[in-house]
Amino acid sequence: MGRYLLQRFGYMLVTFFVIVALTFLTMQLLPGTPYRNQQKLSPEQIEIMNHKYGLDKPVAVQFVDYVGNMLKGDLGLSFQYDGRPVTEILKEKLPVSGTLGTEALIFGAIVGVFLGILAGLKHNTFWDYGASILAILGISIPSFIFAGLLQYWIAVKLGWLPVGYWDGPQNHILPALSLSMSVIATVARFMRTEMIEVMGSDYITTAKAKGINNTSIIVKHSIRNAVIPVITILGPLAVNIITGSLVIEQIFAIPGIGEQFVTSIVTNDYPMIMGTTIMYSAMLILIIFIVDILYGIIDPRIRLAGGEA
Amino acid sequence: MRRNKAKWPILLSLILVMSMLLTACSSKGGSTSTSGSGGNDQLADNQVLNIADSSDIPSLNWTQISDSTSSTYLQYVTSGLMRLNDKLEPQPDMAASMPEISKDKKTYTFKLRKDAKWSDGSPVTANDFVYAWRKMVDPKTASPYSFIFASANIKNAAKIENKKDPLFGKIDQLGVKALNDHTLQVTLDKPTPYFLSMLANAYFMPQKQSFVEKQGDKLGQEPQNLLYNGPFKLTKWDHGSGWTLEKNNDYWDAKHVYLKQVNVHVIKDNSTAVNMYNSGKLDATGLSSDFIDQFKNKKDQFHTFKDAGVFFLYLNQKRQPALKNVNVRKAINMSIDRNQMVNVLLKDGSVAANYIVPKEFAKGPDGKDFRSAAPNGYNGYNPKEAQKLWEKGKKELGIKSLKLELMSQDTSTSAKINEYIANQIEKNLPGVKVTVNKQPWGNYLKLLNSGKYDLGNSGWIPDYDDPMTYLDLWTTNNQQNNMGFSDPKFDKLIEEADNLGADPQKRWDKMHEAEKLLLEKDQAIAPLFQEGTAHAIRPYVKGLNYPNFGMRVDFLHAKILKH
Repeated sequence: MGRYLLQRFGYMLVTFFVIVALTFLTMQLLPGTPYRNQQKLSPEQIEIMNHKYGLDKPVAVQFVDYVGNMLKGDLGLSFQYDGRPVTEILKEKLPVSGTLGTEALIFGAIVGVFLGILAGLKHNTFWDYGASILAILGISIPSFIFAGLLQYWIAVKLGWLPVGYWDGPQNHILPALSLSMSVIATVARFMRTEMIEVMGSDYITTAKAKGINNTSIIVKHSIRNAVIPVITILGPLAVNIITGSLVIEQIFAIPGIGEQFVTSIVTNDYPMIMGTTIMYSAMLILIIFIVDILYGIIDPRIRLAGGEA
Repeated sequence: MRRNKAKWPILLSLILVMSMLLTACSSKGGSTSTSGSGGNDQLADNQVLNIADSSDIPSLNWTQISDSTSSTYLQYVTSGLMRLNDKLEPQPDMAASMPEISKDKKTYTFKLRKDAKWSDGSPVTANDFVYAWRKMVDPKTASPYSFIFASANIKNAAKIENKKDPLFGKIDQLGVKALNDHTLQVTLDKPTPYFLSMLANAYFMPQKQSFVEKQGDKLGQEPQNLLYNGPFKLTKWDHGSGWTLEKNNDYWDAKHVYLKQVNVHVIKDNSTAVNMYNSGKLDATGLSSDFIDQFKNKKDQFHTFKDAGVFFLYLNQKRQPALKNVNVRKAINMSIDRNQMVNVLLKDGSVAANYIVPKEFAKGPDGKDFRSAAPNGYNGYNPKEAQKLWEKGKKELGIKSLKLELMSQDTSTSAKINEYIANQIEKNLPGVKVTVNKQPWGNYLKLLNSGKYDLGNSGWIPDYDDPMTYLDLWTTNNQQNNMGFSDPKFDKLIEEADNLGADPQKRWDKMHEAEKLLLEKDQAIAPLFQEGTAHAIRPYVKGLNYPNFGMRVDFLHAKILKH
C-alpha cells in the first residue's frame, strides 16, 4: 500500500507541474493585454504598464519567476481586482465553491445510491422504471435548467427559499439541489446495474442456498460490492460538479470561484488564470488520488496488485 | 497627443461583452426618471436602498481603477472639487464656490470648504489635491487613466507622461499648486470648456498623503483602507457578494442625503437579479431585453434611460478597396433599418442613430443639446437610394459583386445584431455577400486594432461631457481610426475646434460642421444606435437615476417613501 501511495503521489506531482507549464505557455497566446481599458491606451502607456507588471520580460524568465513565487505561496496580483493578491481572492472564494460542491456531491451520492438500490432490488417494477426515468432526466437535462426552474418556482412563486446569494444555510439548498441532479442520476444508474449484476452472481446464490437471511445478503454482500464502481465514478462526477458550478454560481449569485475562472480568461488576467487553473487542477488531481486510495481500501485486490507490481 | 483626448471612451463593445456591466446608464435628470416628488409623499422610517450591480468593485485605489463600478462608488465615498448635479452640471463640492477663472481661461483658482473633513477628523486641504493629482500622472504609478490629465489639458500633464519629453516624470511641474491650505490653483495648457465637469471624476479626487503611504498596497482594498470625505462611507465589503454604504453625517451637504444605508448586491446574471427584484429583495434592477416584455406594462415600475454609448460600423478602407468608394459606403449605411434593430431586437430603450454624438449628452453655450441642430443625424435608412448608390458605386469600381467580412463579438446580443445587419445589407444591396466573423473579446479587439475586417461593429462611451470625445476619434492619425479614413478638411475642423476653447460658441459650430462632414459627405462610418437601458424600480423609490455620464447609478438624493 505504501508504495502504491507513493507512486500515485509521484504521478500527481508530475501531472500538476505539466498543467502549470502548459497553462502558462498557452496563456501567452491569448490576444490582448490584461488592461481593462487597453483600447484607449497608447503603445507608450502599455509599455510603461507592462514594465511595472514585469510583462516585458522574456516568457521563460516570467515562468521561472512565477514557479519560484508559487512555491513560496505567492500567486501574484490580480489585474481584474486592480492589484489584490490572487491567493487572497482564492481564499475568499474557494470555501464557498468547495462547500457547495461537497454538499451537492454528498447529497447526490446518497440519494443516488438509495435510488439505485431500490431500482436494482425491485427490478422491472414500477420503482425501477420510476428511478430509471428520473435517472435519464437527470443526465439529459443540464443543471442550469433545474436551477432556473427551482429558482422560479420554489423561490419566486412559492417564496419558500431565497432566490440567490450566499447569506446562510437556506441559500445552499437550491443550488446544491440543482448541482446534485446529475450526480443522483449517474449514481442511481450505476448502482442499479451493479445491484442487478451482483444479485444475479453465483456467490449471492450460494449465500441464499446457505440460508442467510435476505437483509444480510443485501446489506453485507450485495451493496458493499455494488458500491465499488460508484466510488470510481465519484471522481468524474466531482469534475462535473466543478464545471457545472460555473453556471450555477452565476444563476444563484454565489461568490464562488467558478465565475472567476471564465472572467479571468476573457480579461487576460494572467495571475488569476494561473491561480484558478492551479486550484482546479490541484482539486481534480487530489480527487482522483483520493478515489484511487478509496478504491484500494474497498477492493483489496487493487492494493495488492499495486504493492506487488 | 490627439489620441489622448479620447478620455475614457471605452470601446462600447465592452458593454456587450460584460453585458450588464455597463448597462446602468441613462438620461440626464431623466424625463422618465423617478424624480416625481408627489407633493405630500411621506418618507419611510427606514431609509435603506437595496440595489444590484452586475460587477464587483475591483478596487477603490484611485490610481488603479479603470472600470465604471469602482469610479462610481469612489465618487460616493470621496468628494472632489466638483460634483455633477442631476442635470450633469458641475457644482461645487469640496470647492466652497465656483472657481475664479482668469481672463485667458487658463487659470482656475478654487477656494476649498473650510469645514470639509476626512473620516479621521483631519481637514481636507489643497495639498491633498496636489498630492493625489501628481501621483496619478506619475509614470511610476502606471495608472491606466493617467492620460485623463492630459485630456483635461492640465499644464504639462502630457509632457510628464511622455517618455521622450524632458519633463518626463517631473511631477512637480504639473499645473496644480496649493496657494495655501484652502486655496488650490490649476493651470491649463489651453482653455478647456469641459474642464470643470471632469473634476467630478474619480481620478481627480483628493487623497491624504500620510494615509495613502501608510496603507501601501492595501489602499482601497477593504473599508478600513480608505479615508472618506464624500456623502457616504463604505462600511461593509464582501468581495464578490456586495457592499454597504452608510450616510456620512460629516459631509457638508448631509442634510440633502436621505438614504441612511445602501446595500449593493453583486448579481451577474440578469434573470437572477430580476427574480430577486420580484421576490422583494431588491428595490431596483436593470432589465436585459429578455425581460422588457414582462415589465413594459407595469408603468409605475418600468423606466428606460438613454445612455451615451453609441454603436457604429467601422468601414475599413485600408483592407477593402471597394469601401474607398463613398457611394458604396453610403449604400451600406442606407441599407440598414435601425428602427427594426432597436425595436425588435434590443427593445431596451436604445434608439436608432444616424449620428455619432449622442442625444441628451452635451449642452452647448446656448444651453441646447448638441443634437438639436440635426436631431435625426445624416443619411438615414433609405433602401431605394441605397440601391441607386450601390449601382453607381459598382460602375465606378467596375465590379459586379462584393464580399464583406463583418467583425463581431461572440456574445449573443452582438451576434444577433450583426446577423441582422448582414441580412439587411444583403437584402437591400443585391450582389453583396456579408459573412459575420464572431470572435471572443480579446481576439475581436486584436483583429479590430490590426484592421483585419471589412466592417467592424464597435462603439464608444464618453467620459467627458463634450462632443469632442466622439469626434476626434476620426482624425487621420487617431489610434481609433484604424480603417484608413482621412479627410484633411475634417482634421482641420477638429484642430480649429480644439483651439477655440476660449470661444465656446464658435467651437460648438465647428464641431457641428465636423460631424456633418464626417457623416453626410464622407460617410466615414455607419452609425447604428444609441444605447438605452431599462430598469425596474419600485414605485416607493424616488430620485433614483441612471445618468448617461459620470456614474452608473445616482442615488445621492434618492428617498424611500412610506409603502
